[in-house]
Amino acid sequence: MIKFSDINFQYKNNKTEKGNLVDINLTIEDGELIVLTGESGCGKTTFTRLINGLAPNYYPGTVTGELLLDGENVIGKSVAELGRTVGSVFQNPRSQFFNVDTDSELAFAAENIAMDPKEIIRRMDEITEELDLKDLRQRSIFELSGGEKQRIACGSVAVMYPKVIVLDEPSSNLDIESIDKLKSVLKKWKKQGKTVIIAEHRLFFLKDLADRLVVMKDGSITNVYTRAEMNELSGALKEMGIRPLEEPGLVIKRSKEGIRDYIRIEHFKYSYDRKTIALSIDKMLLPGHQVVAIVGQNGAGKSTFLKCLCGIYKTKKDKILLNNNRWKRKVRSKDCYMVFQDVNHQLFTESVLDELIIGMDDSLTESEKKEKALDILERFGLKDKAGDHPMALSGGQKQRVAIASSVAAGRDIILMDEPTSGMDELNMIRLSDELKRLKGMGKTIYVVTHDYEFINECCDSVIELK
Amino acid sequence: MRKLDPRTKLFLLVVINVVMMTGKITGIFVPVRIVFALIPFVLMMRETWFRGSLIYFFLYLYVFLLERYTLQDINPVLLIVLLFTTGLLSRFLAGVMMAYYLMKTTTVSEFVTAMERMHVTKAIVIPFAVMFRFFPTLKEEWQDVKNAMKMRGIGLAGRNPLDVLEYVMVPILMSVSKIADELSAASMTKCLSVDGKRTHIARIGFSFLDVILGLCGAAGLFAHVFLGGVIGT
Repeated sequence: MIKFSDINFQYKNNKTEKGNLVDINLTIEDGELIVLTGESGCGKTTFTRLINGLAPNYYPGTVTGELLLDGENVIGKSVAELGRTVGSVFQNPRSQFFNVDTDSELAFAAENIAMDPKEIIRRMDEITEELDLKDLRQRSIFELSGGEKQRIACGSVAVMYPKVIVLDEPSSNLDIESIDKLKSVLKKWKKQGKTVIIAEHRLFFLKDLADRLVVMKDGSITNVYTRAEMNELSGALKEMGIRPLEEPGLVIKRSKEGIRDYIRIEHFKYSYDRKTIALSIDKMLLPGHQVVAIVGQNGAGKSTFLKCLCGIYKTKKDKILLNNNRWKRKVRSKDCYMVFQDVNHQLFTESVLDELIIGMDDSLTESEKKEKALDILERFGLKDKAGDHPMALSGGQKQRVAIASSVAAGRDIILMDEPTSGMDELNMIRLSDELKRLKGMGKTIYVVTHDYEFINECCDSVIELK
Repeated sequence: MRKLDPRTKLFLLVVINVVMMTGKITGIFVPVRIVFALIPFVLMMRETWFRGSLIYFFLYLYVFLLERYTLQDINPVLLIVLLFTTGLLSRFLAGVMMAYYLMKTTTVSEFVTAMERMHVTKAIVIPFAVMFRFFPTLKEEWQDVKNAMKMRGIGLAGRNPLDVLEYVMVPILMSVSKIADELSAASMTKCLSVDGKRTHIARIGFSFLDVILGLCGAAGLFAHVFLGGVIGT
């Protein structure tokens, strides 16, 4: 049993009046599956950090109140000590593995508590069977997809036989199929009687697993729903800025204007090494002046497709036509602008303003550039951030800076890779509106995404890659 | 195929670097250098990295011959350039290949196991192990930043090199420090701590090949130190 009594928490680097967790009272019974949700910054991640001890041990701050795990006080215990009973799965698959190969990672935690090697190997085999990890054993972690990494993360936690497992937005980088696999792992854990606590934005896959849904806002718990109550919620959640509980299906809207051909691909192939083909397209039509979603499983070549289209990857003998004119790679790279999944990689300069100016047409004078840049920032609601360092902005703001700089560079085709991963409802809607506005400006937008709700919100057509 | 023990690899890396970089290139040190240059080649062939090992082989052969049989009738400026590059390559290439082999064929847990068998304290082992893991991460990050610069049309030409350095370093450092931060947090929840005993499932140990290569390395090092191999003695 986990019991939060009058818990208040404030990070050390939080200089505001408001705490990060405010008056939390919640009792979680053994074997319960609890889903925490709410807007970005509502405190749900902090909630999980208190349970695994990362707050206040690793992320320092002040705690008041009492947090009991099976009657013992959690606060004051080290993370490593808590790690014996509490397993943690994190959001970012890039940064949660200490090892470079999967087997070592599965064994890692057990090795750290000096478990007998024979027992470790026995447990690893057992977990491999249980969580269906056979195809992932003895692989390099760097060659796994996001979904596969998340399965290994779950496996490496399960080897410890933890009583409690906390997951911090585990689905944010996963496609529907990988989410299904994650769901079946959660189902097994629940059946084994483990206590599972998940902080999530996307709720549909948890609907029939969750025992209770905890909604948080500004650090406080605003509502707690039981399973029965959850099923009567649908409308109310949207008003709270929370993603729906129903699995979103794709709604195909017929666009009124009819589809105009824009880009015609007749031959398009790419492989990273000489052996495996990452992308192979014989014929494809991409409509223009629309927001087009590109869907497909992890590993279907969606990101590769975008990178080839905008000329980052060199494709040989490609034949692509733009409005029936040959569209060569060199030209493509000047017409397209790609917004990466991790926007951190594409913001280079010291200020938001410079970020826009650096890509502008060189024929303009400095003052013209500046004026134009400020104009664009105004439209994107970023004018007051013009002097800020891009890295000081929030994730959603960074993304908007990247989109704004594509407009500044005068590119007509914008490519986006998984723009809504880890986004809450509010930011997702904001991005959708942004894209609709860009479409209104005559831009063409191709979005690789797994997020059906987002597609329904703003995309005009959908293309599936296989 | 039996894997080489990480300790052997580490020993060879050190010996090859010391002898190749600070050693003489005449007399009995010609065969010593040839053997040391061949060690990474043989090891890479054993991993069936044919392409890489052959490129290495011919590149080394080329600089070796050029260094030994310097062309006579040649423009002196060109000669200096040639000698400079061949001298550099013949001293560094084998060590670099050995380091590459070590990184590619050793898992983090094998490395940690080997270090702990040598009774190195965890306070030293863990940072090294993390470094191991970070090379591939850095490579990924660098690729992404390079792609982003290409996509935005920010080329290297015609810009202040310091600006370019900033454009490359800022995003890489930002994301690497974020990864490092999250990685430490994740490792802590997996009970990693500086004190406390660990067990290992990685099986390492010396085989016949380890002994042979170890002796080769030791013999070379012996000649280097006691038979006047160090430049200037």
